[in-house]
Amino acid sequence: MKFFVQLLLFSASYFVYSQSCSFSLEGKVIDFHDGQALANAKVELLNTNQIIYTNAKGEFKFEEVCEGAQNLRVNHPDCQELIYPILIERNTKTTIYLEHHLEELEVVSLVGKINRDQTKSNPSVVVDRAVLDKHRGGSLGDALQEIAGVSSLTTGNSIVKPVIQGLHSSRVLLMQNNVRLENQDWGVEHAPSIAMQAAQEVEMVKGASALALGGDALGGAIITSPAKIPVKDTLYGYTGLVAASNGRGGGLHTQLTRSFEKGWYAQADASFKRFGDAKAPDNFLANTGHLEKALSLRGGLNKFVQGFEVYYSYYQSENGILRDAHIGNVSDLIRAINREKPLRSSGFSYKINEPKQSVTHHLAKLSYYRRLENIGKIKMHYAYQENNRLEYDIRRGDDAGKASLDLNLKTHEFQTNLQVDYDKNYDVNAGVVLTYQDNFANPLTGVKRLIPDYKQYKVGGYITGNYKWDEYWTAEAGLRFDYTHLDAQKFYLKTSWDKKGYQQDFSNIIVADFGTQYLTNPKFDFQNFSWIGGLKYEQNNFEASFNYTRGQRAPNVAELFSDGLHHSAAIIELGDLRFKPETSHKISLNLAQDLNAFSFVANPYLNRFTDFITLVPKGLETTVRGAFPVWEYEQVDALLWGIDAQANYRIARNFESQVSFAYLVGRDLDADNYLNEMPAPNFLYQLTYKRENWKDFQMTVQAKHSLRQHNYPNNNFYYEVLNEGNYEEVLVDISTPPEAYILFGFESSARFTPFNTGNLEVNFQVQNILNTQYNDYLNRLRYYAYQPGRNFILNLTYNY
Amino acid sequence: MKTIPFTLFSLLFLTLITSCSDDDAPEIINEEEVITDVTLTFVNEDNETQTYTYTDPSYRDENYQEPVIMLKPGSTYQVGLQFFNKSNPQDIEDITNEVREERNDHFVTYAFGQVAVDLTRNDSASGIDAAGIPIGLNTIWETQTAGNGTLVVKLIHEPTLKDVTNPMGSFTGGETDVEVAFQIQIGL
Repeated sequence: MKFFVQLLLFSASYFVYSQSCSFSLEGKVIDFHDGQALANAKVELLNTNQIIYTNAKGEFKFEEVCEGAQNLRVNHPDCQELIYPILIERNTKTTIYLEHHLEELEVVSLVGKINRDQTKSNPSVVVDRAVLDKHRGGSLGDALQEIAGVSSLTTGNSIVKPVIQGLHSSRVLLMQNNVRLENQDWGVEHAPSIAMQAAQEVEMVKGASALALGGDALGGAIITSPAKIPVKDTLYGYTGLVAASNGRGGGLHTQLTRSFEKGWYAQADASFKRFGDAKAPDNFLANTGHLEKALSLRGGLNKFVQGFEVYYSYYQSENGILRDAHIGNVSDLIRAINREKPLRSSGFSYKINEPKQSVTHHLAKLSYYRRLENIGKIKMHYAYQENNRLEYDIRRGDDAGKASLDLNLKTHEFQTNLQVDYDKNYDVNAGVVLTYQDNFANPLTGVKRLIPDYKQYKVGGYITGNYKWDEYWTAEAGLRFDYTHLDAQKFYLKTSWDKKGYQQDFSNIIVADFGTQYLTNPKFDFQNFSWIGGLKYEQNNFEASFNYTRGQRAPNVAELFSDGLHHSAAIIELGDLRFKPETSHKISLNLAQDLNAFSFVANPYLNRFTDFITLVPKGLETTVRGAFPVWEYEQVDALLWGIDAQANYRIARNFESQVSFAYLVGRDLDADNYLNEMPAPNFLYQLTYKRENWKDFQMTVQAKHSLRQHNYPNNNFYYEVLNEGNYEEVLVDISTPPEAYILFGFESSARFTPFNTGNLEVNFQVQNILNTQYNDYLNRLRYYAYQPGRNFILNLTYNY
Repeated sequence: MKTIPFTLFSLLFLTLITSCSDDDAPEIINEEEVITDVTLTFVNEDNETQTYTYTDPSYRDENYQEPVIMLKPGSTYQVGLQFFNKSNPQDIEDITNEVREERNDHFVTYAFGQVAVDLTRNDSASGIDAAGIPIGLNTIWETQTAGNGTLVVKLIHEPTLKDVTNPMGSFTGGETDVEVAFQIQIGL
């Protein structure tokens, strides 16, 4: 310590009293990746007027440089600016390395533009920041829905699950800040635990081709990341406010970032959102309020050669489930389908009563990276996640107010990734992921566990590569292996154990006999192989790519273990311990043309599954609570094919129009029937007027046209109802899709500078302008109520 | 040097996963709320008692037989309805009291198929809700002519409307907690 003080004093005195300015400083600017000299780099000696551009060999030389600490600022097109501190004590020679790969996702101006990075030959879409901002009051699923080929599977209005080309839940992977989000993703009524307000950058990959993230994302991957923090001395932030008329709610979001020239940074982000009962055109939807709180903190060092980050995020949400949708059995379902809507014409309320869900998610992460000269970059992270899901039903007596489902999922993940990109023509990515997971189902609920206690160990390894043949052609290939070991402790009612015929196949896993129940210890080992191959051709404004992906997914815990009444859906769901992994073979073609006034993207695809796990209706089962439809998970051969397309046309200088379209057919090849709950064909038309020199003014009129789904399986059934002393057969129509609908929307935004610093973005929207009464095929609660009606939304964001 | 972070991360991962491994066997859950048995008790004019119990198919044992209610034509019976949770045979729970306590939130309906029975509601004060509606745990049956048919008993939770204009009972809203069918033989 003493030594440092002396040194400091010494250098200060030296600096003040004996500074001489007669030294030379010469050096060379080199590309870090391939060691090549960078010509025409701008080198600036700070605090002097000296600026020099490097010569063809990347060299520069300053004369008359003063003694002491000096700073060079180095700039090169395609590179990050670098501040290079150097101590001058004599004539000095140095070598400066520049990073030419910018890691930030490109912010593209149109939704649907093809992006590089995660995959080369398969379509990947970066969601425009403006689209994210527009949906700050909603959910991630709402924002993603603007991409052709993405729809939403909803439970009421606030629980929104993204569906990519017909696939969802365990088949869609979500990444939060490079960590695979581990929540109870198997449930169709479980929305991802991600705060929309805090999503800074969102990218979506269709299909399982992002092998570095996982080989089991047969539908696709959604990647959310915090914004990149610049390496400079700055303090900035923003505060956003959303207010919406429907639900009479809103949200507040604020973020503050402090960063330093040396690469240190810290960021805090907090958001809060609260909505009361939503309103369908004619009535309030009782108990549909929701509440969301999120916080994230991160800090670290972002240096050129190495860096690290400590990250923590917290998410808590509470969602009311439409009270009218809470039913007991088939008789209730019949009454619900046939009655006038709504049943409960209550007034507006912010209160969230049972039935409801409450989810808390913690994510803590420690990451480190280091650039390796002439090789590339090595990254590693350790992440810990804890997800607690509580579901509350309407209960009786002492149990009222107690959760019916209480699952606690803890996940540890360690990943290391080596990226080799020193050669401009190819790059290779290889890595290993280790995961350990522990699920605990709290017995204090007093309700049989829907998902058992289990421990899961996963090891994954992958290698992917891109090779740029020439100016036009790029080839891509990748391979991934995943090993999963699952060790569960599951109680079975003896009656259901026998019904599934487990006594013959699995009698050896019975651990204990508890009278009416067996305790069993099922163990599984799954080995999954995934691979991809693709080709891309680029010329001027045209791009075509072809991609083949084979992906494999191990059955999830719900598919293996379900054996009873799924209260929220009023159906009996039965899993099967005999399942093996499902396999997808997907080919997709992506065509894009970007001319001046006209651009289009088209993406036809074909996804052939073997052992596709799906729920199949198996008639009715009688219990003391009445009759319930039984749905069994089965493995079938399936085929999904379709096309997503989007076209933009600039009509006049400030007028732009856009049409996007998605069409999809899903077939169960074994039953020679359609697959259930496939999105209906839909169009999105937009007309935008933009005027940048007019405070960035922008105005959009939108029409969303969802056609009627005609390709659906008919799972309707008859049920005997006692009426006036006689039994009558009543048709229970659970399959017929709702009518087509068109919704009109309006949006306008502008940017003002009312204060000395910063700017204010104002965005105003109206959704469902005509207050249209409609239902959506992918809303699980469509039998009980209509979708929300007109909604006015005001978004204010102040950037400072 | 480069291997230090890697080793560090791996060690961290291993310590964390080993430190929180516990191999405790999960606790058995005997459903607290479930109703497994529905019992009808008949007392005739001569004070003779008959009992019939319907058990949920998941909780039946080998000796279970579908109950068939045997009644005489032209007779009057005092009928009591009870609900039990026998999911844990060591701790049988009578749910009827809970239903009585929450009488404002519960309602019982009866429906007869192919047999004629006149039914009146005969609840004591503990079975009459705040709106003065007898919820139907106790009833009086007057059987008519002989015949075979069915009886469907329902217990409804939180109906939005209870109606006893017809003493069999009708309702809107709510969800079904119990819906069971009994065979009835009215004969000599």
